[in-house]
Amino acid sequence: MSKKTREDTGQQPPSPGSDPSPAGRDAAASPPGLPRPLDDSKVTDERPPRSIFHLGLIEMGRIGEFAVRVVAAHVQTLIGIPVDILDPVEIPEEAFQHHRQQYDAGLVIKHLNERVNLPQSRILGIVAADLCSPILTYVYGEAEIGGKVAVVSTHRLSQNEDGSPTAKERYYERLAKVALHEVAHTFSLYHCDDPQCLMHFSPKVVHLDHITLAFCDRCEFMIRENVLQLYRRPPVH
Amino acid sequence: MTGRIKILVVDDELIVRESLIGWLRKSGYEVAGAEGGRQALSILAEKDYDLVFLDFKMPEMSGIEVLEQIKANYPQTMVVLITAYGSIQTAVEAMKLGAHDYLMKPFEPEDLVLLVEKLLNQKKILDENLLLREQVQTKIRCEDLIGASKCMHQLFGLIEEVARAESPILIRGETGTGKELVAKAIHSRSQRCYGPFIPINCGAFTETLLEGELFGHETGAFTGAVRAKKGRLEMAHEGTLFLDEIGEIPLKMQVDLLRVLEQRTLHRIGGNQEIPVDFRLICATHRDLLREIERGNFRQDFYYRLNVIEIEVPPLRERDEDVPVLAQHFAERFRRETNKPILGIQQPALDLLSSYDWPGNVRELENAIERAVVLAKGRYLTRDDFAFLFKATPAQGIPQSLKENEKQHIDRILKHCKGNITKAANVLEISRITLHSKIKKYGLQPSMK
Repeated sequence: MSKKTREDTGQQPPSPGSDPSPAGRDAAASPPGLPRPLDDSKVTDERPPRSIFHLGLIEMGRIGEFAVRVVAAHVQTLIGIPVDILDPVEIPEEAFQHHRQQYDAGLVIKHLNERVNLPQSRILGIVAADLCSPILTYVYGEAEIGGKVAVVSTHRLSQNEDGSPTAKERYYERLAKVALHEVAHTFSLYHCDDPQCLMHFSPKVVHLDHITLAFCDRCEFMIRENVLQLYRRPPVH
Repeated sequence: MTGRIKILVVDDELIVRESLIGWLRKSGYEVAGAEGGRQALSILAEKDYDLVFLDFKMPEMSGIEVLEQIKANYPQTMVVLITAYGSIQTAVEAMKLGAHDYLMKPFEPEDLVLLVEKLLNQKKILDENLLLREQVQTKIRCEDLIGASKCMHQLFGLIEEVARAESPILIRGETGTGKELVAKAIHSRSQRCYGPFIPINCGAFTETLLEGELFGHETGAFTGAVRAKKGRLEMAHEGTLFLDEIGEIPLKMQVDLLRVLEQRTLHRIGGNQEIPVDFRLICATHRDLLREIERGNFRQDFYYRLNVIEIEVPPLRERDEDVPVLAQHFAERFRRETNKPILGIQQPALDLLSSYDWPGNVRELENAIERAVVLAKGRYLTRDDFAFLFKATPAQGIPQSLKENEKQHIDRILKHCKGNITKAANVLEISRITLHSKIKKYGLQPSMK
């Protein structure tokens, strides 16, 4: 699986005040105040590769390039972790549940964990198919608390409660919210009681529309702390 | 419901169990899983859970069987039955047996969220209800802290002042003066009044038992510890801990308690987990702790940690004007409790009570009134109803002459009345002149105030 650079995708650095120098372009992907990720060219046996500090974004099924870039930009900005957009893969067939005509989100995560060997410390899969879990009739996304992989589905985000199609802008906003929520779970964040916070559990799209595109102060603090931990103690592969 | 909410998921299907556990953990709950009824019951035997999700159809024990056991042994725990084989009949049967709700797999995400929120709110209300009942009882008992004397008015003022502070308090006073009532009054007027008031008499336990009682223990911490138990320190979280007879506490435990007070965390016996505790400490003693420090029985550092504010509860003999007020109050209370048609206490009886020196303080007075109310034949309590207070002690049980008895009795009454001839004559129901002549006859020395 090859890695597309930001230049490949035409993606711009998300941080408006980022350093325009060549070194600064890499650093632009790092959150402000965080140590700069290592340059691949200077990798030694002791230093982990730069991509270990990144999140790998994988399209699984036909999502659309713009939607993927929207998610990447939001994750970089609000989580503060650089994003590599990776080549698309097919959603694993072993995750398909014939009796429910849906894909089991847990099995998709398991597939990405076990079968896809990627250096990135976090992986986010975006699927077009409808996802479910053994206990829930559907899920917008799934992630393990403190794990490596999260997955989100676009399937139920493009319609309103009454079945009417939703506006594109709202669809992208919902997708970004679900992606941020699930990625934050991989940084050990729990559901939040603040009804405006991105970590508040949203069982329906109407609830997703109600929350803001921001973490509450407490969750934002937790995210920053846990992302910093990633730089302090890089995962060992 | 204190600390983190604990939920147990019981399902024989691993994938379902782990999926539900995962979802609940994401919501910040402390979650455990069990693959069957027997494992679930052994987990419940070790720790209290707020909510149990219980699969209806399991191989070794059915959900209904497990539900019956849970309701019988852990009635405070809420149970939700989950099944893929649901029907109205099973739902009705489960609800009749005490299940709080019923879910069919797979659930709608919103149904699960709303159900968990609803049940945890119900649990919170039930727990608050228990707490409020406790509060009402505490309030009723606080009413016994009454007095018309100047020193009691000063005490009431001091209680109001110190209640709002968070500092530890040391209450000093003789046995039976009402030190616990003072502690309860402070708690009920403090910002922690909605938290629990947890009293423990440190003098009533052996060292080993006291340690277990204060710190609690984990399962298997010692022989017989078949179930984990919270200690009083943990139970007092967000409330007030009242350590009565603190002077009796062993030196080793003084160090342990000092550590808890400094670090605000504790470990149960046999446990590794650090448990945060937040309580206000009120201690009481009848001992002179400074003398105990000199003797090496009490740690100085512990004393200064406890004794930030000191309150002295005066003995009843030093506030004899409170005796009639307290006597009437207790008579009214026991009249209500025993449903006896007692209208009050006659004045001579009140004078007699005031003349007694009450070595057992308010508690002795309370017991005396209770005994008098229970045994009273008339509508008013009379001197005769309190004659038992002045009965000869066993040491004086040797046959004595009438003269000797009269001499001792007058001497005792004079002492009780602090040499006040008028008061003593009233109690003895003789004139002042007669009393003077008897004092002269027996060569008594009326003690002066």
